[in-house]
Amino acid sequence: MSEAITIKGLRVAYESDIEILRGVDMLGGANTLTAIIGPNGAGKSTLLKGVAGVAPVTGGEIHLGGQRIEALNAAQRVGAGVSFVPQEASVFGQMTVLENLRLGGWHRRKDKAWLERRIAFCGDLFHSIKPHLERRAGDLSGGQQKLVEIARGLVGEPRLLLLDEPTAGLSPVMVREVYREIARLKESRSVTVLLVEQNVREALAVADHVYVLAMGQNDTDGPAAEIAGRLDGIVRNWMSREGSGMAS
Amino acid sequence: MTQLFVQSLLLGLLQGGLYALLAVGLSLVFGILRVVNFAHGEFAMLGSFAAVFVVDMLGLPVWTGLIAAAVAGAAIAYATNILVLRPIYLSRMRQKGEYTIIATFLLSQFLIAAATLSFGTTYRKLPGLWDQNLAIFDYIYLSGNRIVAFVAAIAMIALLFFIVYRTDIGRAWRALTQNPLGAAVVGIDVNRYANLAFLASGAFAGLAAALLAPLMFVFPASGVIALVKAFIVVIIGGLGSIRGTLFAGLLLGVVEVMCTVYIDTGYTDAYGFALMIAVLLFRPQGLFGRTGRAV
Amino acid sequence: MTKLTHHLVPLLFVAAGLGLSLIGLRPVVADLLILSVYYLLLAGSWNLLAGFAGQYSFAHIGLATAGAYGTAALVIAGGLSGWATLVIMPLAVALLGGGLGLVALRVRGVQLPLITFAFAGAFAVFLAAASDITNGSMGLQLPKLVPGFDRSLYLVLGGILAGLFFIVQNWMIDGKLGLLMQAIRDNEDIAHGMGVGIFRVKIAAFMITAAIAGLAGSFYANYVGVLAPSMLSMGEMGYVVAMAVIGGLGYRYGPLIGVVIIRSIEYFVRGFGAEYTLVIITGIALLVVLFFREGVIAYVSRLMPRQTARWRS
Ligand SMILES: Nc1ncnc2c1ncn2[C@@H]1O[C@H](COP(=O)(O)OP(=O)(O)OP(=O)(O)O)[C@@H](O)[C@H]1O
Ligand SMILES: [Mg+2]
Repeated sequence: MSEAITIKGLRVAYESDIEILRGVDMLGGANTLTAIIGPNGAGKSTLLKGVAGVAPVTGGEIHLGGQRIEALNAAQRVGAGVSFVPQEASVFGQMTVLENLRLGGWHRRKDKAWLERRIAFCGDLFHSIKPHLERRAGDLSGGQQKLVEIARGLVGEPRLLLLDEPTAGLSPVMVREVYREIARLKESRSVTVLLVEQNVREALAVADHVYVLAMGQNDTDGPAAEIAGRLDGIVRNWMSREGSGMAS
Repeated sequence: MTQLFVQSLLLGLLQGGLYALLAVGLSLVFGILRVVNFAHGEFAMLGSFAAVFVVDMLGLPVWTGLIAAAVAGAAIAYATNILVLRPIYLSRMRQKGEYTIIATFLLSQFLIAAATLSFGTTYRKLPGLWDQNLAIFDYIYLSGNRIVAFVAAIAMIALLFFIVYRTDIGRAWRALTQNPLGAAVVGIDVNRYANLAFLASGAFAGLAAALLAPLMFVFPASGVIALVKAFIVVIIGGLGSIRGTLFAGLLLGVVEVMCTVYIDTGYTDAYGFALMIAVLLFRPQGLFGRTGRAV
Repeated sequence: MTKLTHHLVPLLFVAAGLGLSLIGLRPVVADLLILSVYYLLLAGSWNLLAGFAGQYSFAHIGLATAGAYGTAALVIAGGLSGWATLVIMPLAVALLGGGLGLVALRVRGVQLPLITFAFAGAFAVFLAAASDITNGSMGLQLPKLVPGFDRSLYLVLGGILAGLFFIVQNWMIDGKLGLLMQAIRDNEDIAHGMGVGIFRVKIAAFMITAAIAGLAGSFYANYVGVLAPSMLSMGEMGYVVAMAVIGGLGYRYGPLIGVVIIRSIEYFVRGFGAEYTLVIITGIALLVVLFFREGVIAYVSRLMPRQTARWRS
């Protein structure tokens, strides 16, 4: 069962006085897919990190369904059903792919039968990694490692899935695999997804709603079809502010 | 000739096992938190004082002294993590790594000063568990205390290996060591597993010091020498690598004893430094060090 | 503070040394001040290395001790005058520091503190064991710089050396080297990306600060006149770190303030005995690190924003 995510006035500062996110609002309806786009350095990753609890939140609220989660630590948020697949490499390189998947179900590790079922299921998701389950994750290619991270992020049956540029650096075949899985997740209507993407067209095609971030704040938002219609204007707007598009 | 050689080799290995036990917690904590704990030597020092207290003052049997040392070391390590380190690495300040070094270094000086004030500077010794010299192969003599200490040290390291590679705690430690971000996103609670690592680290250091106490002296500044040894071991072995620590500990023990026997007896504690420099010239990251650190 | 004030500070120290030498201080106070110069040179140069270049070395007292024993060797065995050692030892210790840096700075990050700590430990053991050279805990005797024991001479010399230190510090911090050092401290990756020759800058900082430590050691030997291996202890290193940290690491006058604070505390609690002094000082330093992370200067300047905000170089 998934829940809606509501973000109100979210602020994040990594170091004491430099605020990267300066009050971001967002609403992701239950079982929908919300895409987040914006120029480099806009704070897209920072937003997902703030929601996942791996970046220091200095103000604002995050509601997952009826629960306030902004005061929970990262581990507790995983327990509350949040799963985050970061932009940076996050595989455990010295462990096998299967061990990586097993850690994906860390918060319910006592439930052995469930865990084995989920590992088997998620190990089967992507053809590109299926033959390599026994290999050390660190020995796989960068793209394969990303697929391992995505599969690992699904083991815990999240209610809220945060994907940060899941297809960056992937081969076209793998990109198709990832989007097939995203479409399947959407169809299953069991998870709310926030998706950060650079491939704006791909993202708009699957998204229900789109948010545009710039300089650590909301720029604009709207239904995917509507944003797609005025995309050229939005991107031109980024270009004209080139160099100042960064949150800092 | 061979007699002397074999005897030195055995003696070195026995000594090295204790060095490994002393250093392994330092490596474990570094792997998980990227924190070099300069107060590690004082965990050992206070552990050995706890043993002296229990055995000499309370008159309890020697083995209870070992337990007391492990408990005291663990307690102080835990307190250090909660009171001194956690406020720093949970803060949003820059250069946390450097600040943890300064903070633990000053803590170590404070603990030495406080210990000097409370216990005085007298050198103390503990009775051993097995105060007897054994003859092996008729011509090689080893003290029973050394054998007891070595067996205990190896047993503890084996226990640690079991924890690291066979239990959930160990899986969490390995995950944190290999990829802190990955560990956070799968829901591993850093604080909880850092606490456990500090408990283990302090217990091992305290126990190692108590096992060494019948062979060496117990005094407030003993932690500095212990820390120098532990640093040499982790640098040779590669910071964060438990296998490397075990190997480097044994190596340091053997090299020290060999050099003491064959070169000059006075400089035992300085040979390790020469060995460390030699290793660094060929492998700056240590023998088992990797760019992606692994437990 | 303006650039001009920075350049006036050295003059101030020289003048203070001269003035104090004339008014005939009580010997206790004069000794306290003269030895404070030793600590100022050490804490100040350590601040340059750690606070400005971000390289946390624990070899500093070891390097000073090398400077002191080198002085003894040159004077006793080589028959040189103490004045010559004040010039030779800084250069010699800079080379020693450079050699240590070549090994310890090859891998980035935590290796340096560990290796330098091990160096200090091993060197201490060596000094204690090599009693045929160091005369064990009895110590080595050195003659004074001029016959008789005239504290006013050392007050003048101390003023000059402190002034010299601030000249070197100004030259480093305001010059290109200081900029590069701070770039490396703040973000080694970015500095690397900007094409800074990281290793060379670190070695340069290491050698210059080692030279100052060598000077401090030579001054110490020529003043105190008795050298024992106990000069090199981690407790002394803790002292130096405490001074830099209490005053404010990475601040130009942090160590100066730290030396003043700690030496005053020492002076006033000296009746309790050495054990208490050490507990008090390390305790204070620990509290500062935990609760006032940037030291006294930052704390005070936050109380009065305008005037002192620019102290941070
Ligand atoms: N750990 C950190 N510490 C300090 N600043 C950071 C950190 N991570 C990111 N930043 C800064 O925050 C700003 C936003 O970064 P963020 O990664 O959120 O951008 P983004 O929108 O995801 O960009 P991209 O499209 O390139 O991934 C940048 O200016 C970056 O320098
Ligand atoms: Mg990003």
